Amino acid sequence: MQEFSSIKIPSEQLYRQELEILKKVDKGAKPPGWQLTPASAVDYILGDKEVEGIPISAKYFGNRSLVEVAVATLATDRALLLIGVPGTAKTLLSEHLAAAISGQSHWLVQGTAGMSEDQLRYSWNYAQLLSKGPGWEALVPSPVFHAMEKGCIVRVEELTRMPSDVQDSLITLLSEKTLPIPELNESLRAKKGFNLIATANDRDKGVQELSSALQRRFNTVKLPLPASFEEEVRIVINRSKEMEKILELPPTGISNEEIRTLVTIFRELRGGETLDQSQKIRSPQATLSPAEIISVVQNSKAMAAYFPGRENQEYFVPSLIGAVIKDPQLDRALLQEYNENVVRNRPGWEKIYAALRWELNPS
Amino acid sequence: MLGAKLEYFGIRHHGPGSARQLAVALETLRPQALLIELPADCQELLGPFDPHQLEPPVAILQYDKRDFNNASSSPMANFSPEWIALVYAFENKIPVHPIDLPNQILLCQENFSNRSSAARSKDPFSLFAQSLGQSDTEAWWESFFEIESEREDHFEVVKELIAHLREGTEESEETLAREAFMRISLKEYSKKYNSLAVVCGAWHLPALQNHQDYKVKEDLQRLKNLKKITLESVWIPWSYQRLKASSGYKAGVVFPAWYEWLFTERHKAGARWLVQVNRFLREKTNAPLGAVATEAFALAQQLTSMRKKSLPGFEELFDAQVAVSGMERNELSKWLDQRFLTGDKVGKVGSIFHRLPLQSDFDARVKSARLTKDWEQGYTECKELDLRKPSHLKASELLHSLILLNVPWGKWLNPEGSGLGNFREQWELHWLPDYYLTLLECGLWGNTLEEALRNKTINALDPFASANWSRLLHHIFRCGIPELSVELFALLSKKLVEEEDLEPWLELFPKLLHYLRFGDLRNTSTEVLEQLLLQIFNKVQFTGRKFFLNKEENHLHQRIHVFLEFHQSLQLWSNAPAPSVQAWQKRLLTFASQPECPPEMKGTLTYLSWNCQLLDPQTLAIFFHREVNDVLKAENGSRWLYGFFVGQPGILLLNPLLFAWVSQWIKGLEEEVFNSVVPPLRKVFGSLSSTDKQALLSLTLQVPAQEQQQTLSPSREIWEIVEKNISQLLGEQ
Repeated sequence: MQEFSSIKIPSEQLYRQELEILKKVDKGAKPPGWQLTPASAVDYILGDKEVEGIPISAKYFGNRSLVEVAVATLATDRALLLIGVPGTAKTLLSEHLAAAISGQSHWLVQGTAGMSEDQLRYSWNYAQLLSKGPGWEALVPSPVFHAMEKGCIVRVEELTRMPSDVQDSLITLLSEKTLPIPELNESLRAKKGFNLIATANDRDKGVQELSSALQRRFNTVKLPLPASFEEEVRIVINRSKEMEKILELPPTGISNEEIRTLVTIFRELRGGETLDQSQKIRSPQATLSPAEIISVVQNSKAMAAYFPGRENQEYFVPSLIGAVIKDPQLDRALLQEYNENVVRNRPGWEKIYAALRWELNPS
Repeated sequence: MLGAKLEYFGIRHHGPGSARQLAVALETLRPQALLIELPADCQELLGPFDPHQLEPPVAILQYDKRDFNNASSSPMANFSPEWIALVYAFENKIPVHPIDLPNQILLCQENFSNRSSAARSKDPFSLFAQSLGQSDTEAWWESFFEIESEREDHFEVVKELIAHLREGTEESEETLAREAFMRISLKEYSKKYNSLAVVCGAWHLPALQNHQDYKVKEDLQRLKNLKKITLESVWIPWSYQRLKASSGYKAGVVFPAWYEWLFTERHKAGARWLVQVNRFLREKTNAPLGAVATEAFALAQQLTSMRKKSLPGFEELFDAQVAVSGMERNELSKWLDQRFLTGDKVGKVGSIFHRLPLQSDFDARVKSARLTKDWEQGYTECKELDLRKPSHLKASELLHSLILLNVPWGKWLNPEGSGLGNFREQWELHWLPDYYLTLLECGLWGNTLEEALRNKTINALDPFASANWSRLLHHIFRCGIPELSVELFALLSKKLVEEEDLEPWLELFPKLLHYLRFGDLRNTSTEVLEQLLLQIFNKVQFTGRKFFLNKEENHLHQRIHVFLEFHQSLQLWSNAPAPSVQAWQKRLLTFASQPECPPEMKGTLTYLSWNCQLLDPQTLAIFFHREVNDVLKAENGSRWLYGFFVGQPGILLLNPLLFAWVSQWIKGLEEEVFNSVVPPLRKVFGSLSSTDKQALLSLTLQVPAQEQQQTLSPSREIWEIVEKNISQLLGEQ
């Protein structure tokens, strides 16, 4: 299997077995062009059940009704916009939605500040264009083009990073489901099953707000930060296990206990108070999303795997500090404050306290 | 057992689907009488029930006359099955009997010790909903029994379901007693009638339906030792706001307005709700929400089929509206709450249901004050009253009285700056159904508003409990009961003896004097007031020492302010006992010479004596130099100056002598000391108008200009520093 040696394996391959079994037992009516019924698509994403002996794993942890709204939207003829702060699993959810609905998730456009309309529509192979003139052979289709042709879901990442005029070229595409190609005096009509999932974040700087004309073509689903401590722990453990498998890391001493500690620290700093709500804490500027916890865990696992022989906290404390401190003075001070006021008094956290203290005041 | 035919209707309290089904079923069954799960001791209210006199939401309120907190209410909206049943009985002229355990027993504290906890310990419906994969019990009921309630075998299905759910559950003592009582009532009424319809909460079905299986003896045994208390029962208006919060059945309604919509619009409710909501949002938010309703409905339908329901419920509609409009959930519910979710509906109760004389008196007062229209509005309204018009004067008196009775129907918008001579009052009116309960409570104090108010003032009003003096006085003077102010003054003079602290009295004095001087539109007796003023003055005269020599710095500026006002008003007191006032004014200076007296207070007292011409310039000079030129503590000097000038900072400009002393003192200060004395001075002179500040500045600059000719002219830099310091002193940038 050549694909499995790549760093990132598409969801539809990673969870091929689950998708196949769901497809097999799926009895209800499917919207045209869909691989699964909407209800099975929701099951695939939320998982936590068994179908004919095959366990369906949970891919997205969170509110069921959000996922239902997302799937239902794609079954109507409106496009789906997932928004949320960084690290709320927008990309993950969009990938799984595409995998469940179209059976493939690889048609993807990454929105950037410097992109042009061509990347959403089509461009030309200039050698062909010069030698043979405009024609289908000279046309280089974009992922959106492909998805329309095949009747699949296409994903647009970071929609709000695109310049406004490029964003607006989606309007005709979404309302008419047609892509005009004036050079050939032709137009491409989308096959049934085509739809678009865009992601955007509402916290970053340098975003282009959507025009209301475009906004109207989308249903918006806002993804929240994990509501409860346990939910967040589950997300972090699951995601880091997945990553571990892909990176083929040897086992390390960093356990779920450390992950719980990290989630506690992140949630407390993010929420501005201790989990038992007994003490107020100053919050740093960083988003401190689950994605950042996962990267801290990854980082420390990699360290522990390749440079073994140290205490656990010596691996994760430095990268924790890196994630929290964005403003060198302000954030350092408040992390010190947190360490002295909260960490110090927690039974069992002595080593973390010492490590944090040492890293924060090396002198 | 006699052969009465009993038909049971297991309903959900406030369930629109149950209500609709019940109406159809009763029409088919046509029973001889109705039995209903309401406390048996409210029978007296069901007899005269008349839907033309009651506008839902209304409630049956039962309360303990001696303890108004011990009360229970059974609310009904027009979508409540109980309401439907009562209306059916009224229209078909058949008797209705309440069969539940009387509240006289339920509200008796001795009977069921752990009431509240037992009632909520278990919710089998939620277990059942969970087993069907529904996290939200409310949503589950809504979708299965309220929205899709068109099925003919509705009550059969409910019966079966509940029988299943109740198997093996344990009930609280309270529920068991209630069910025993209901069974006994059932047996009794089945002797009287041939065909009966029983309307009760679905949960009780198994216990009632098989009443033959229970032994009467055991049921009686269970009820044997229960005690009773006396209760009053009344119909009172209710509101959707309160219906949402909770209810007597412990089954609240999450969104009353939505339920009403569901009840009236039936299976078209979803689409029409979205259309209305979006029309409303377009008007209110100016958002370009073009085809949102259509799009949202399409999405809601898709969600409905995914959630395996047949008609979109509230959840689907709301989720869809959020996704399509792109609004935040919280923001959307904030917009919609008042009209589409909770609703602002307030019910009405016709006068024939008013039981307490106080209520009738209240009705009459409202009518004669021409406030009937404004009464019971769910929203806020503004009203301007012109007290020269008799009806407006009545309205004002009524509103002031009600505030004193703790029924703040009206909010007085312009209490400040309106003496008793002013004939305009602005009010903001907002009636809350809670006020009924308060009014009923006032029935305790008397049978008319006036009587209640007088009794309450004398017995329960503690003027010192409320820090807000002026508010209380305002209302008492304006509530149209002159005797009340007389009684209040009597009460105050009694208090005067007991109360040690002088400050509240000093504060009260100018206010009372104000009423005395300007008279009022309501003929308050001045004699008593005059007497009270004299008492206060005497108290100040004889117990002032502690007030002046109080060293506590926290409150000092406030105390000085209060005292200055008092002193000022003293001069406006036309019937003042002149000799004692003068004698007292002379004593002020002796306080100012006491070493314990804080410098600010010394300054103020010195100023007042000088102002009353009790000090000649020479003595003033002695005082001034002794206090201000305190070598040990320069800061004391500035504090003294604060006290001296705070009443009238302008005199520094008008009196060359004072000006010379002050500027001489300032010039003699070291730079460091200067900086430390600036703040208090700045507090005083910063309040001068900008013209006065200009004048002061030029006056200051003139002095050295004269001296300049004789001495060396100071360098430019020194001038700049001087100017800077002076403007700093005056609080200018």
